[in-house]
Amino acid sequence: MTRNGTETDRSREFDGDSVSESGSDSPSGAAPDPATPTFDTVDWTEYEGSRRLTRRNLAAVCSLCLYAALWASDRVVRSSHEPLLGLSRLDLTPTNVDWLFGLTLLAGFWAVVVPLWANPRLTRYYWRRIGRNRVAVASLAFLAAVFVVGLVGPFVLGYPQARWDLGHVPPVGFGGSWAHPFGTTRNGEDVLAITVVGMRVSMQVGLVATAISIGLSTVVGTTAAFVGGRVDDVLMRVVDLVMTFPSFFLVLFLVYVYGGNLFVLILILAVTTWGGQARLIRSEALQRSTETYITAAEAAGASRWFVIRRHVVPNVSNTIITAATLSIPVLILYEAVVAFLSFGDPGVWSWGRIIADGQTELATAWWVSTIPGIFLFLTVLAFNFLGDALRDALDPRHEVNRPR
Amino acid sequence: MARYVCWRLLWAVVATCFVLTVTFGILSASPNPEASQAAWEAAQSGGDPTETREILEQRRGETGSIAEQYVDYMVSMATFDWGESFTYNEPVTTVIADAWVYSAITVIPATVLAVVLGFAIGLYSATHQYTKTDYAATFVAFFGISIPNFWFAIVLVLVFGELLGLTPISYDSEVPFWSLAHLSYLVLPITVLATSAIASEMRYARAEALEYVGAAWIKTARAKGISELQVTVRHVFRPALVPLITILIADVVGIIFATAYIVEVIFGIPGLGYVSYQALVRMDTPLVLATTLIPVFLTIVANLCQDVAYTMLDPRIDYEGGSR
Amino acid sequence: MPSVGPSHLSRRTILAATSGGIAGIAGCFTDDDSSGDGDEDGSDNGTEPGEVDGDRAIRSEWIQAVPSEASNLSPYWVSDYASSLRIGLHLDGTYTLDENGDFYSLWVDDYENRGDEAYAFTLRDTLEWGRDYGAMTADDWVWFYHNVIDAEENWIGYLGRTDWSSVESVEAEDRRTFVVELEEPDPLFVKRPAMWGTSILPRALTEPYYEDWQDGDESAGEALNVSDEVVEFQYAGNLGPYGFERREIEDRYVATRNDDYYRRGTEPDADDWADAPYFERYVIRILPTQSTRLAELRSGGLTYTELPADQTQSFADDDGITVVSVPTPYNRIVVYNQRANGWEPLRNRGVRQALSMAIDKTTVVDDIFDGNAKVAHTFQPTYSEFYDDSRVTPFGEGESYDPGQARSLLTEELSSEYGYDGDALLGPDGEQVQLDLVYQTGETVYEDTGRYIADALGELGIAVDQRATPADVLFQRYAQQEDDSGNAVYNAGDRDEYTSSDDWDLMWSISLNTYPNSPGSNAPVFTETGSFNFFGYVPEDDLEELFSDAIAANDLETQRESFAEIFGILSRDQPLNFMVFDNRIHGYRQEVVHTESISPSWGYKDQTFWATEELHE
Repeated sequence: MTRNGTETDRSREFDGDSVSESGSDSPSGAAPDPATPTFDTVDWTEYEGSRRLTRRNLAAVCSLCLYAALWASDRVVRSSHEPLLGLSRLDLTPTNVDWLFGLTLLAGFWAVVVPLWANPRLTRYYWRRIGRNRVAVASLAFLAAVFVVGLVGPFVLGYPQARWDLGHVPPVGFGGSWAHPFGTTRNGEDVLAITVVGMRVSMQVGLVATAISIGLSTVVGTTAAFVGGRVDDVLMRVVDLVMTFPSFFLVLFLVYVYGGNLFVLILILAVTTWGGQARLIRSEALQRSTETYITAAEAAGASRWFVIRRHVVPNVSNTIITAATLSIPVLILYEAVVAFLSFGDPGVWSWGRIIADGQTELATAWWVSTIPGIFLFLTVLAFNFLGDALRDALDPRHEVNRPR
Repeated sequence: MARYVCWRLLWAVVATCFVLTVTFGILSASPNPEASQAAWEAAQSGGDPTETREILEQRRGETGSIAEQYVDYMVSMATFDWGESFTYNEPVTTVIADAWVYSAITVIPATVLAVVLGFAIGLYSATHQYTKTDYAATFVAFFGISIPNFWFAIVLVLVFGELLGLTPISYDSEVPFWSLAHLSYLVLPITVLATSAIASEMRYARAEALEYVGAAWIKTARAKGISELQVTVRHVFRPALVPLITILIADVVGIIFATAYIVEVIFGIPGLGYVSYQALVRMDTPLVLATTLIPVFLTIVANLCQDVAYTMLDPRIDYEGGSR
Repeated sequence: MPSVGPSHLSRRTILAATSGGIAGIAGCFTDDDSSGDGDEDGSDNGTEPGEVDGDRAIRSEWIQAVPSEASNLSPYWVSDYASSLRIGLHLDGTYTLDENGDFYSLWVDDYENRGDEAYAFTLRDTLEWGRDYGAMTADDWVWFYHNVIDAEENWIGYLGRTDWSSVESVEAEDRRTFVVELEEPDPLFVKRPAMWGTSILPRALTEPYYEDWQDGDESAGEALNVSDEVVEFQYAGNLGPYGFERREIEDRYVATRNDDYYRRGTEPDADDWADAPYFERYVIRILPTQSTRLAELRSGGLTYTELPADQTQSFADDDGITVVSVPTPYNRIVVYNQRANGWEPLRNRGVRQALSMAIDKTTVVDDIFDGNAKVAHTFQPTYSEFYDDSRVTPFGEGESYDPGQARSLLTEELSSEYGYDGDALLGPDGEQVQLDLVYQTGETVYEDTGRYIADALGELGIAVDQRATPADVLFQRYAQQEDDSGNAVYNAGDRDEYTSSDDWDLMWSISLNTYPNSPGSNAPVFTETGSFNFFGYVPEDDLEELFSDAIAANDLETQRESFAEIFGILSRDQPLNFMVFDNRIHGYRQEVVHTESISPSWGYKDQTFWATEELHE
């Protein structure tokens, strides 16, 4: 088959199928093209062997190593406390989610922030394009605020403490006081404190699960597109399976049997949702792979893996970032639904859990689930607006000639 | 072409088998709630939990080894002799046929509504990018996917059902099927389902439209001096419509088995989503396998139809040329 | 919600549970020292018989909602609440127990105790099977005993066979009377679940299947239980208040008033039964979401549904609704894992006492269960005649709730490797002690109490990791053990050797029947080799002998004395924290008139409940 002809999913909504403008001026700019056509023989072993240890790469690798070391030392300390870590018991407390969250942020920093920083011209260009969409800018600001409050807030407000004798207290303006501006739950926990802690947890769920599933789909998608042949066929049929499996039930069922531990839940969400993205990335990569700079690199004798890593992945990064932005809200909501079906993690306050928890008493204490619900709604909405804006901005084929 | 279709059909069978096998594997590895509960009670009153569990397993025909059971089930699936549901003591086909109606009366109107609204918003949004009305329309489209639908459903019930008394609270299957009253029972479920599906239709329409808005034939059309509305409808909407039809099947299946489940649970509608989940939780193996089989097969065939449709519509695609 | 909650109680458990009240039940409701005023509020309302005058007209519909579909409709297979509810509409069963725990006649007109060793049961002479099966006679029962209970193999899959293990034989005396002979004298046989509440199928219906089975058809038992005749109750005749109309899967179950109901206008309580039942149609709706059920009840779409403990207050305040909060003999407990995969110090009685002392049961009852529960200090409700307050050692109520003392007791009892560093209790490895608390999902009170326990133990410097799973998963992963022959059982043997597959320390939310009628039935839980001692309790006293002595005693006084001693030992030993006895809470439309007073047997006469006016439409 050729190009993205067999694309059957909603990827068309993202990529269309015209092989148009976007030339080799790879917009991510993260990788200066190493195969600038000269007629010398390129010593590929040198290129691939050295892995081009630029200062930035070195720093990234170092920071990851440092992080891994921190994690390992933490493990060692813990292992003395819990000597047996059976497979049947994935005893991965929220701390592990925190570690993964940190890793996700670190990866996000090196993969998104640093390249943008390094290319101020490109950054300004994107910013101008996104800036046209005022709602997207507002969304970005809102998300940044949520992110910061979620990270810092719990240290200021503390973890919600139950006051068993207090019971429901309505929010300010509805008969409550400023001691609990958002009111309290039936156990006397401060809804404001829960909302703030929930910000953090919901962000963790959304970001970590997305990071895992995007990682998986990038590997599968680009490999399938570029290696092609049998590998492509097999990988795409695997994707077919992942997509056709009634994953909603699979998620519920796995959570039913293996428990609603947040970490397990994140893993389950991640591995059941990568199919669509993999297809999308594959189709994007297929288009890129016909372009001249790839042909040039191949002609110059670069190995497949090298081409994938240096040319294909950076050039589909726009698609990847857009898909990631749009998958975060889906996963945040997914977690809420799981909590509604009473399979949530009882040890962690996520927005999903407080909303699900409060829904039984909506008739008597509306604020318990409504207030966090509004925050969840706005956050998810903001991600959706931002995702669409990013798609418009990052995909040059969606350049619009406004009819006037 | 024919070879390609055959190959894909064969694949559909293989994939279905695979999914069924996985489902069976999960089921046989999980506790059976009924047997578990009975054994627990038996042990507490001094009885033999093992014996109790055996009695309950025997009732379900779960004798033999796992391998034997597996072969039995796969053969019965393949021969369309789907057997009787354990929990309902009725043929699996009857159970599915009954439940299907209830899902259809909510999912089909909801899908139609979502497509119409989604397309309207999508086209509008594409042609009026970054205007205030565009933001408002997009907000409407995103509303449904941004709100936890279980919460939305419960709030709707409390507000419209209980406080205002405008709609019934839960679904009542005794209401005459073709009646206005029946419609009043369906308003809330359809609203929840439709709002949750608008966004994806809107995105699709918008992406398609954006692509065509800049296309040469549109410019030609404009140059001819036709009105904007006609351009939108005839030259933007029409070409985008064809792939949509094939996409719908996959969409409907998706909605039934995720959103519809929540809606059915909350409104008490005995539809397919709810029945299949109950079957899963109660380890009703024949029913689980049948309810997994249908959507998987449908999705795979829908994918195939879509691919074939593309070939017919887009001469650039060639299936005979081998890969890449 | 797909939860495995109380809806999964089997017929036998429900029967055994409702057998509570014998002595002191009245006192239970009049004593005002209890903190729960919420439970009395709603129940003043028309629950006393004779209080409401008016004519018992027949109304059109009784609509009630349950969270889940029934799994079986054969009386031989029933194992869950939703199913027994439906079967109860068509088959009354032999007899039931009234608010005092005494025999109350249904099919069986009367019984005669022949020296505790044999009981003669006489059927009413108006009982008719459906179709052409004729009258129900003693012969049906004799055949049932010989070919179902006593058959060499359990061909029909009847779960209640163990209830009959003490029965020697069943023989017909005349057309209506049959005699049940016991292996050993048993003064309480009538209150045991063997005969009580039992329903059977007609001999003429069952026999052909039995013959098929004898001819080698292994699936004959299954074929009988799923046959249309059985699942549509075509055989039920006049034996129950309603006849089968139709069933919509996962949606509703509809039954219509039985015009020939045998119990109508008969003694005892002929007035109450004058025109029973008082509704033309009885509809059971399946509404999985709690908030939907409650909204329907509030707005008048339902006649009756059960209420969650934490939301009864708003219903009690609602004029349109009567709340009936009924005590149960079910003890909802926190189990201490004393097997090898639990925290080792839990084997020390002092440590268990310290933990129990740090958890305030009053908070749980008042703030979490909203008063719909009673504090428990031992494995017997206070109204049981086998409960002796003077022998019980309380932990976690009033003065016996003392975190400070708990902390010093803990320091005293733990080995010197443990110690406090500020507020944290450090283990031998220098890390804070962390315990795994597991409980089931499904009800908010489970989760809330779980968090309360975590908080309370946090005060003791112990970190608690909570995990919630559905009940069946909970049993499978934390309670079941594999014995030497590979079977999953709840006590495979030595606590050092056999453990559940997953580690745990505390298990909350499970609820066990305390059998206030026959406390001897609790031996499987509290003896070292008992079939239900999944938590590895090794009593210091010889409980095994105490139990067998108590059971064997043939006068009630000795029995009382022995059981009071056992329950005293248990309260001191704290093999588990007895936590609470929680209520079952019923919400009715206010028009419903009840014909019985509140007792653990609530609902034994619910087919005589009537309504002052049309309830729906």
